[in-house]
Amino acid sequence: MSAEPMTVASMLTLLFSAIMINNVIFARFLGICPYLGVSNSIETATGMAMAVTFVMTLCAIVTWPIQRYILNPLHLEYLQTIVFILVIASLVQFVELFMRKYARGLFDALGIYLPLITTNCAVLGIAILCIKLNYNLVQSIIFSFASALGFGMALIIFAGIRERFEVTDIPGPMHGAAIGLITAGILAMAFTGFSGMVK
Amino acid sequence: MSSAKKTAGSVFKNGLIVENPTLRMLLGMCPTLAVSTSAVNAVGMGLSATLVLILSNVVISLLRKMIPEKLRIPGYIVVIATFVTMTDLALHAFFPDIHKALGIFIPLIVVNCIILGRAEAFAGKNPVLLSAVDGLAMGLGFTSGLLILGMVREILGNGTFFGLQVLSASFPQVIVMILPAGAFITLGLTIAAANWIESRRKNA
Amino acid sequence: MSAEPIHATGQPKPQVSPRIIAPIFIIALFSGLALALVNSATAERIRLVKEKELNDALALVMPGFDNQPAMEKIEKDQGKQGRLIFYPAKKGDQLMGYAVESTVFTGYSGEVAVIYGVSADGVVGRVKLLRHNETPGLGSKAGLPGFLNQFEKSSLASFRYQVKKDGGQVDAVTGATISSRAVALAVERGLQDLKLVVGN
Repeated sequence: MSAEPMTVASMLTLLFSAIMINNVIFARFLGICPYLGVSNSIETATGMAMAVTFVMTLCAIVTWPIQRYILNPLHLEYLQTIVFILVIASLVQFVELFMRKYARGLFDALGIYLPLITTNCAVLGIAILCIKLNYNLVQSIIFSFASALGFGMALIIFAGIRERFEVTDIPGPMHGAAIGLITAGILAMAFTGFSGMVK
Repeated sequence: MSSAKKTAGSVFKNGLIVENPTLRMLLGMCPTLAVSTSAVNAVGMGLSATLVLILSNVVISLLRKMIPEKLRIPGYIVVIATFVTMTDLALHAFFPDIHKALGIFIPLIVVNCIILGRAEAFAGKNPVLLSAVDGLAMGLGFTSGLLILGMVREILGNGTFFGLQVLSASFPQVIVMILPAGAFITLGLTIAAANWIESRRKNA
Repeated sequence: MSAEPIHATGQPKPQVSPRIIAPIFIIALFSGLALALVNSATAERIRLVKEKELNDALALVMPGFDNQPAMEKIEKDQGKQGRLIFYPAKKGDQLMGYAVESTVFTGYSGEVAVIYGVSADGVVGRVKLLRHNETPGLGSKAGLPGFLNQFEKSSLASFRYQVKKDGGQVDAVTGATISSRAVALAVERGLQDLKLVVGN
């Protein structure tokens, strides 16, 4: 399947399945902490979603060549975890500095979410998955970008629902994360509906 | 907690119960949801994370005066990632079945917020012995949270407990418990139960 | 981090002094050394674990051979499509069949590798899931006998190696269609290629 040259159709399939079917949050269980933590309002959710999309895509561009041209030839595969996490941490730092200097508007909008991304397991998880799934560079970039979009979509949907919690009479012990997780469960069931759509 | 003098006992109780990372602090949710499909996986994950937590807490506590304030997060991450990789290699060599079952979630222990969280909130400020106790208690707290979830999901979803058949074969398996949706809902209900017990305890 | 003063030139104030960098450098150095040590200490053991895994698997899927199949293996790396390894199993001089190790990358989380026995006339024997990264308790169920036994006694002529949803004859694991598909594909690809290698 993947040995054929990339067609537009196969790219769209990859995009769709990473966003909808194998959604980072509802199917892969990655990035749950920011999902529960930063989705109080649609505005913060959107900011976080954009910052994650930016870093995750950039991360694929950097980690894939490192794995392919440095770790694999030198048989240093066991350093994957430590190298990738350092790449992510420095990438986040670098993006922060770069934005502050050259894209002040973007920095004001996304700056506060950037430090949180280092410990977002979706970023490291997707970087490792790109290698495990044996993707090439282009596929890795599309996969990372799409996964981040899926993450953002889940975050924004959830924030929308959560804003309604404010005006709903929720029983005491169910407040906060409890009702949030149950809502996520129902959303996950809804997303299961996509699973038959792509072979 | 912070004002009272810390003893090993109070630190231990704090990690296991008062600030139970899974049920009270809501940390480390990703591995909790992903590997709690069976009790064995839950214990394997819990103990691996406990090991990393104790080791990284000890080393970070030892280095706490040496690591410069500005670069402490990258410093912590290097220490944690080192122990995670060691655990990964050791599991592969000595417990290949568990290594196989936990898969990608072993390297992801690096970004488990419990570990970085304890480095930042405890080990970076406290002496070595207390940090070790804190790591052990938090790790066991995490393991127990995982185990509760793993038990419920395995029994209802698969009819087994640690791989042994406990529900008769005629009892329908609730497949959704094994699916992601079941993970979210079970964890939500467990946290609600913990909140309820906590509020009863406070009012009593 | 956010409180860093900005220089008049607009450059962030340089604050990377050797005094700050040195401890981090030392920590990184030590962790690199420690990892290299642990890696070399466990490498042999991991190799043995893998070797034992292969030998156990060979004995399971192709019982009764008395040669060293691992020494006579034929490897075919097909890049992104997968990887095939054929282990000829012989008793005396008689070829009993092949143990086929087939790896595909179409699992839910990447690599799925199965190993199975094929008799000299192309009939599948026992199947074992060798490696995978599938979701524990879900996709990993594609490794249980309940799923794998349906491939036993099948052959290219008599069986369609697709899940029922795709019009084949394979009963997929509930909730793990992708993993089931990957296993079925791995079995089928090995069989098709074995035809070319053996030429029967």
